[in-house]
Amino acid sequence: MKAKGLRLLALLVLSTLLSGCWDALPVERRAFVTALGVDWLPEPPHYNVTIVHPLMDERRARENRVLTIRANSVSEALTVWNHTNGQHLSLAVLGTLVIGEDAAKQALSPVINDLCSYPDLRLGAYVIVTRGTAQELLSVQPPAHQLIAVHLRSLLDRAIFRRDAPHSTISEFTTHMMTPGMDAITALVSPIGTLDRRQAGKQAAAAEPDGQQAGGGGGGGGGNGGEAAPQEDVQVIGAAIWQGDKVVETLTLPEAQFVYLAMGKANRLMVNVMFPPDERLFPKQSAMVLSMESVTANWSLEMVQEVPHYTLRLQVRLSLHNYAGDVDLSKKDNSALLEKMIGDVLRQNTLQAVQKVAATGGDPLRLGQLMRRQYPELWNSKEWRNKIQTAQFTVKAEAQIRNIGLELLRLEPVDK
Amino acid sequence: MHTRVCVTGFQHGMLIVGALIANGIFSLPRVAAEEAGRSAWVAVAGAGFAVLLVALLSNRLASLFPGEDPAGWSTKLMGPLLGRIWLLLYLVKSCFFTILTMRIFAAIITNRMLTHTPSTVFATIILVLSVLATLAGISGLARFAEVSVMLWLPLLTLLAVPLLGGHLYHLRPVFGDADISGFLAGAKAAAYSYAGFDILLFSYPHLQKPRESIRAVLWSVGLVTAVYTLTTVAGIAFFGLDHLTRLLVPTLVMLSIAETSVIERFDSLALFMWIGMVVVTSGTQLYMGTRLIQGLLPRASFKRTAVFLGSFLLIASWGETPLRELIALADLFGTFDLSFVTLSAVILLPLGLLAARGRRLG
Repeated sequence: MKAKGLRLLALLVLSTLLSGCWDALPVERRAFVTALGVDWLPEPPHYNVTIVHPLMDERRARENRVLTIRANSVSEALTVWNHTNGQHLSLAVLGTLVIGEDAAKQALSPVINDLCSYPDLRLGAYVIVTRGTAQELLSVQPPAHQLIAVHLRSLLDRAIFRRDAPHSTISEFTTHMMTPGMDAITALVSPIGTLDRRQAGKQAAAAEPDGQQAGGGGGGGGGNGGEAAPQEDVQVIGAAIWQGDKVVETLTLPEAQFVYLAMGKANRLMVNVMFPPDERLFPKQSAMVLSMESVTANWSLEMVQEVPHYTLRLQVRLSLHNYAGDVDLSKKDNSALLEKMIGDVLRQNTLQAVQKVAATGGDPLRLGQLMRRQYPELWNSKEWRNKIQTAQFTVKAEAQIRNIGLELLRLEPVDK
Repeated sequence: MHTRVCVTGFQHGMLIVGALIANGIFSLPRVAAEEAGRSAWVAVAGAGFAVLLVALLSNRLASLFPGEDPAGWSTKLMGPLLGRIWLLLYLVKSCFFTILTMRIFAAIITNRMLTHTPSTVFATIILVLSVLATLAGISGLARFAEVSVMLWLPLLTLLAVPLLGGHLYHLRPVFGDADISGFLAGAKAAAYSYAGFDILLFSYPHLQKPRESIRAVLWSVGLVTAVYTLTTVAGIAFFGLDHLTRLLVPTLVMLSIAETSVIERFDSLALFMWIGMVVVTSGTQLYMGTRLIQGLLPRASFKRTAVFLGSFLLIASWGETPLRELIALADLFGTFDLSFVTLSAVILLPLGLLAARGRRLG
């Protein structure tokens, strides 16, 4: 009886130690930040931090969708928000970290350090750079009541079978930022008007009551749409090349895709390529979408008079999507010719993209790591950004067509 | 103390695994890589091999005194004075180990998950559970270790995420990145992670089939070495050296990166599941501490001593200590622990063999 009493007492005492007493927090008092934007302003306080969280997102009025705080650091901004809002900020489900164009040209490491001071930071959140400001991007109201944070994340997740870009997480970004001989590459996105033509027409008409059309709003939206109409979609427009914690160059989407090809990360990407005119294979159309099914990129290095000479051997297995010629590709000669032409085009474009990246001093291809491993006695991490600019490149590409479609020739009316 | 034969060979091995794996694995990739660079995983594997040799020596030492643990044979082997000094040193080591185990785990939970709860709360919970496990005796501890290790093993599959997402070039060159002194320093830095296997000295007398002990020592230390080596490989491959050496607890960071559509924060789940392993480690140390006090004071009751020791350790370590300081202290302690156990095995084994030979001749 005495022992039972003691056990009961022990249980009662232990129950007071349960952590709920200290850390219990009703969910309505938690603010789960789903997207965070960082912008840089020339005048102090320099940082403009934009916060998106689901409760805000539910209010459809545009002015309530995002909250922006100006402060001297991201940490200060989040602390101010925490104090004024009365909610406990959590970065546990952060989907995307959006860096504004100007902020990306400043050192980003203080931002990363501030975020890492939050123990629940989701390191799997994607890092993207936006054309313009992060505030603009996070103010986009995606169609069909999608949440912008989810929309941004799925934009990179749906890179499979689309002409987009692979994602880069905070963790990967940090490793690339810190390690000598490698740099980060992140997707470059931009708000666009809308992908819905009818909606674009309505918006343009609303913006220009006198009947004049606003430029760039419709037809797939290139550009930023009309000023009066809210942006409704986001598009990957290329990639940002980092050197340490600063962006040094941006690439267009085709350039970025050839860099991904050189990195061996273009598996399942769809690449739009232009072919030189050729009477045999491209009598009508010289642009073609290639679906990359398997990409192997082998880099080798040779030092010639202390100048690095890199050779890339690309082996690509792909499928054709919109071949518009009328040549029978089931014949070995024809398919071999096309494979050779594809190989040539991939080689030329990849070489140009790689040379452009190397000229910036950034190293998303991790060529410095190859140098470190292969020539440790010549490896100088501090000098690498200068050294890579003098590097010489050779690309050898081999393409293998896996799928040409079910039909041998184009289906069209015969003798009609 | 009456020795009850109640532990199977498998439980003996699980007890060693449970005693070895606790908090050290959280910081192991960093502390090893800070010293041995890219060769850190080789240093960790090397340290595991060295620990296996010491464990086999300890096993041989234990086999010389069937039916008795160090609390019983130390004074017989070394004489009353030296024996008691050795017991006292051993007791201090066990007490420090218990305190470090509970405080580090409590500080990790407070730092990463429940930031408003004082770490003393978690330390208290771990210590109370450890005392309860100790009161269940070596057989209860062994059964608890079995369950805890089985629950913990599936977490190992999460290592596949950083391994697949990492880059093997971070691991190259395997040798040449650090000199031999760096390699040895890396192995030494892994000492804290390998501390605790000396529980085999205390569970050996309770084995149903003592001949199974060698096999249990081989597979348990081998398993732990493989886990530690794999964790270090994953840490280096995923983060690279420069990032890895700036993370206080890289293993937990790796776990936080593993995401599925259902569970996004595996590190939180892992920490809760890890509590069993931590209780096994602190429980084994508390058990050893209790038995060592009984060696010093033969008339002391086991249960009362265990409760008293647990209460004393809780009060002695009351307060909040920063995690960084605790981990630095643990690194120092690990070297002391492994040196003590190694020296004890190396010195006492010949003495024990001589004593056994004397007994046979006598």
